[in-house]
Amino acid sequence: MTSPLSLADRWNRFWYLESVELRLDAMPGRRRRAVLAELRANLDVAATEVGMPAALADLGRPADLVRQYQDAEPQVRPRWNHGALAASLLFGAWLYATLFYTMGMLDALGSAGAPQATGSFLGTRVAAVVRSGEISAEFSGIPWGPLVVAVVVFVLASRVWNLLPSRRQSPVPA
Amino acid sequence: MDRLTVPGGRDPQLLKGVLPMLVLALLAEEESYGYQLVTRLQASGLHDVATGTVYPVLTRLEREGRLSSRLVASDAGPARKYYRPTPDGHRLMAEARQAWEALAAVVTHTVPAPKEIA
Repeated sequence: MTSPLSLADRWNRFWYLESVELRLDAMPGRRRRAVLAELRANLDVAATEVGMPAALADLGRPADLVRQYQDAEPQVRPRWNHGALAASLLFGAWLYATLFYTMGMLDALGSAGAPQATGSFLGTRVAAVVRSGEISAEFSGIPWGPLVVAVVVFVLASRVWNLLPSRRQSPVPA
Repeated sequence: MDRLTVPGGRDPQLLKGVLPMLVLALLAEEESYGYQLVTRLQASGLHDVATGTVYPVLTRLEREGRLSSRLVASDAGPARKYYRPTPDGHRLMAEARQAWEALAAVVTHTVPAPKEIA
């Protein structure tokens, strides 16, 4: 006879599995989902015998468990999700800064009474116009600087070098 | 199976090397689900072996085709995934056992038994 899991047990299980999933990003998606499903099933089985707190404690810290799974993988893969997230955050920051710069230009034009002005912000040319009945901004140019930085951040956060053959699997000479 | 205890603690790296062989041996004796296998390993003398050490080994052996599995419904909770060795698994176990015996022979021949150490 089993009793249903308490809310605290469900929350602790959810939190543990989320922590594992975040760190298992380097594992191929299908295998990662299979491992998590199996882990969840094993946790539920163990919880019926020793309770969820003991079942979770026996698994150890999520980081240690993930290390064991990764050690058992043929090769660690790049973490594309991490790379995409980091590059997206950078893109969002650049977009926000460019809009902030443009709003500042428009505000300055309004205060100075000048009808138009042009400026440049991180490689993007901004032409701002403030006339009676018209407030507009035009963007042109390719922001090469932010693009290069975004690519570098994507490469670093993804650990693209994991595509290269792993040195840890090299045979050890006798 | 005879109960085996290891005095003075255990080197985790040593355990890591022999755990797949032990897992295959116990599953060859009787198919088990993950948590049951951990309790069987503990009953065999590996008292401090944890689920977090055994589950990745099961996952790896299954991925490599050394283990097959089947889901069995249970009245006492969620369905259990039972594992058993495939022919490849039996072959790996035999090879691992041979390698272990060869290594153990070298250790026995080279390292004096504890009672002989001054």
